[in-house]
Amino acid sequence: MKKYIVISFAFLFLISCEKVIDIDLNKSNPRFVIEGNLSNKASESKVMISKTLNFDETTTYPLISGALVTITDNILNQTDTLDESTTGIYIKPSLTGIEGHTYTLKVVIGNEIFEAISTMPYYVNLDSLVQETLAGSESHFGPGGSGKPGSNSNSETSIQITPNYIDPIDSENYYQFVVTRNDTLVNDIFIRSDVGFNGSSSHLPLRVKADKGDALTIDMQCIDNTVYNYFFGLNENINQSSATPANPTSNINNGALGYFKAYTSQKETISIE
Amino acid sequence: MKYITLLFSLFIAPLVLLAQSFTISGFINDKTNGETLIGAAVQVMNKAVRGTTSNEYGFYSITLPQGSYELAYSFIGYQEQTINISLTENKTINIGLEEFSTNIGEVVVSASSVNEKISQSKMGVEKVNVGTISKLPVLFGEKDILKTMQLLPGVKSGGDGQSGFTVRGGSIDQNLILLDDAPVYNASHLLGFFSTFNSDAIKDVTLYKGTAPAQFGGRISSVVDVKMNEGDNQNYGVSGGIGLISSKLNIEGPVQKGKSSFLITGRRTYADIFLKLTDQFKDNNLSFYDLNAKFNYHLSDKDRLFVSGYFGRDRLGLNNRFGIDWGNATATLRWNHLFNSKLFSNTSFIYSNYDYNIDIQNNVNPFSILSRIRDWNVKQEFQYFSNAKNEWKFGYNIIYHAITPGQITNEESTDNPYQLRDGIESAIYATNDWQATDKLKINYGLRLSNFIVLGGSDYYTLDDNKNITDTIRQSNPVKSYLNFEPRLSLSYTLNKNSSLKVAYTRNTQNMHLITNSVTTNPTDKWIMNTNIIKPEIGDQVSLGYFHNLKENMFEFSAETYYKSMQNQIDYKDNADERAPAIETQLLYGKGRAYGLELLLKKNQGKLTGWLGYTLSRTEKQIDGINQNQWYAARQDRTHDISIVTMYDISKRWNVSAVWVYQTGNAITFPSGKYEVAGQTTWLYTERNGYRMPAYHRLDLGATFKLKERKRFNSELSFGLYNAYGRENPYTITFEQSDTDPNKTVAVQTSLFRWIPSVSWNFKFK
Repeated sequence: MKKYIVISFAFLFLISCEKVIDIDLNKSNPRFVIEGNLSNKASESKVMISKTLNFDETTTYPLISGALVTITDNILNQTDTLDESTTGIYIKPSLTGIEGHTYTLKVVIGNEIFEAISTMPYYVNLDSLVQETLAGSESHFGPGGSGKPGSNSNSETSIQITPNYIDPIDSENYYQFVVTRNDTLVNDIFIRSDVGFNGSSSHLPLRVKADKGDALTIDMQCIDNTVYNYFFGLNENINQSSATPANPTSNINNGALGYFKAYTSQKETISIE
Repeated sequence: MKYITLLFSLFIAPLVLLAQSFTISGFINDKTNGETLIGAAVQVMNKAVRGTTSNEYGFYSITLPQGSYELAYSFIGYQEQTINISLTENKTINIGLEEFSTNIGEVVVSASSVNEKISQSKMGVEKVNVGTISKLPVLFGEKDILKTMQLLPGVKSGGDGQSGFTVRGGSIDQNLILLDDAPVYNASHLLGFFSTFNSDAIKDVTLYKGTAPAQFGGRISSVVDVKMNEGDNQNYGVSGGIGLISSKLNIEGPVQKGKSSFLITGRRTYADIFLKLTDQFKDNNLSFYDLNAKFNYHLSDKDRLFVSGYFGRDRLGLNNRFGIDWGNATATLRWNHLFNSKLFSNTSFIYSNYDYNIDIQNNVNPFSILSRIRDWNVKQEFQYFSNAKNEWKFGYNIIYHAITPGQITNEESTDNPYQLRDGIESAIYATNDWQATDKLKINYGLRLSNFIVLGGSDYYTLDDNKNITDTIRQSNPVKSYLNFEPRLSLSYTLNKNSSLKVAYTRNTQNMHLITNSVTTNPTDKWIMNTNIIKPEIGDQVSLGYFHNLKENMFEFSAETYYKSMQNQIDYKDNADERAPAIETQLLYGKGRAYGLELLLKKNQGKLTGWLGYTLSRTEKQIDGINQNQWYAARQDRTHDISIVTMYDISKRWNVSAVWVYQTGNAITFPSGKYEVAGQTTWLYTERNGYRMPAYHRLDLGATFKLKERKRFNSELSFGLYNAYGRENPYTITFEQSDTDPNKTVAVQTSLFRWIPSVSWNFKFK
């Protein structure tokens, strides 16, 4: 909304102006950032640990080495330890999650312990992907698009991809769509909840920028409620569109930032026509 | 027995005769155009009783023992008129006062009415003089009553591009803005650059900074009581103005000469018309218009009927794809009835509507979202002028509120993703203005207010984590809230020139605006009490010292206040403004506000104006925000200074300057950054822990009166808004630097710097 207001005043009075200013932001105590992903597919589970920086520092986020990372299946009571493959990245290729099971992530850094719980929902099948090319700046309005008005000057086209799937009626369901364009992760966060369409088929589109011939991979993930809330907050935070800017509510305890996501995954790739 | 009769005739009878009282009553108006005058003083000369003032319909009534009196009628800017009467029976005296024939609009103040501030019992009250407004520099040359009010201590504007204002630390929805008794839910046009009140149509504005007497209620911070003109009942007149961005026209005249009249006044901006002519912006639009109309009819000497209405609309459109339009509509039907010379009655039927509509045009699925709040309102008030020392007001008020939040309409269907809400707000009240002693004046009253949350839509039960555990749907009322609101203010006159006042008031509020903490938008949500959302309660104590100097040439006041607020509402962290059940996104807590307000005003001479300073603090404490600690509310501003000067150079030229300085709003900024999901994101440490840069601005204005003709006069007014081009921030956002992606920078958006304006105002008689 406020963007529209700024733009309107800009064209009405031709006098709105933007400039970079100096703001004396406080130093913050460095905090750990944990990104835990547990998939139902092999070789996809990964935990990454880094640290925050002060606002004025150059962006090379320090990765944290030497942490003890374990994931426990709370139903089978089975604990796996992940190995540090490269600095700050912890994996175990054989580790896969089971639908309906609840998992605990435990990260020990020095004498600090962080824990998080996430439940892997039951898998929902992605039936089909439908693509449509949008004209002009339509992608800037409406749900899903994070496009900023006025940023449509480049040559890329707006593509609308509609994942079709049927939402199960007997449960609350939350979905995340992770989009990769020619092997590069698309930054936009696409999340959906079944509030308002529980049990029916979904035709809510995802809007992305792409060129003809690009390969777009859509990873449809079923996630739990806390993970959904985390990504909702993260998206508002990144777009600075929140009514009340704050760190997204994490499911990790002890003041760590980030999330632990146990999810089911189904990847489909389409070529843009 | 004979002796008794004798005794009676000798002693008792004369006493009875002496004690016999009679009432003088009538209406006070402007002699030339018949407009009734609100708050005109009627003084009983050389007597201990102080007299009275005319009410909001120009009616006065004073009861005095039989005898001979000299009565003085006076009003700011008008020549005092005195009459001698011998009071042996009830008398009706209607008085027409004549305006001083000096420079039009020049504020001439008569000694008797100017020290009203000293003598009246109420405190925290500001009257905005329409004459002052016409001289001050304003944006785009459009004089504005609400903007002028924001230059008074304790009243703060939201800043450039922010609609609304705050009073004594309250939030913007805690102001009850009444236009001829009709509540106005959004009092701004063009996102706060203009107010909805066209000053050509305004007779009187009174602001109560949380200290309003018991006839007002429903908001906890202030009451802005705006009364429209009635229209000239003597002659037809046309006046208007042509400016760079907008034009306006005002037509008024008698229906029955000397008795009934009408008034129609309208404004429209025309930037959109010019935009259509340009290639680049032809599909864009930003405009508003509004229309005020009033008609009054004299049914009899004891009955008057008033019909007034307001309609205004703003529109903002982008690329023919995205459009918002919003506006208020109000209609008031009022009937004044005089039961007798002491009992005045006013019955009002009021309708008020505020809505906004968002249009999304696209090829696939064009749709619109409508949000609306409607009120149907009945008000009955009696004023009883029992004797020269007591005035009573009592009455009731019933409002039916209906809120339609975010109704989505497309080609096929209409859908309500949010629950429709209905409620009934009612109140009964009684209040007494009592001249207790020669020096002590007391206003006390009680308001009993009730709010019924009506059923028929879904209400929720939430657990501690704000998740819905149960949904209730019933046709019976869901919840009822009852509140007692005592009001008391005392004024003690120290001497002719100074007084001391103290007040305590409790106000409650049943309608709440949920605002985004960054900017205010016309699309902010109005909600009402539910089973979960409780009425806001505000308790304020205030103390003031008032002193006039040099024969009332200077007016000084110092007021302090402490306000405690309960059931304050704020969004939780990372709130989802579009959540279907808004209750799941809200947190409740308390607030406190305290401050000192200093005002020095010069009322007479070539140089007039004022100097205002406010030192204040406003904080909230809400469980779930900032580790449950007290934190600065967005509108917390430590310092607030305004300097307003007007200078008459000659009969034809006058110049003015306004300078304001305000501590920046409290705001949430990041204190660090990190990477998650492949993206840089901001690390926040607390809500409202930072400040926007201070806001300051100088505006200059000048008015030149063109040669006056017999039936026509006009003037040119020039203005320069933000004369030294201060780039006041509208928003500050944080992003990766364009030049070095590894660096992060803060980007400030300012809406504008210097804005010159010229407008031509005219009047035909």
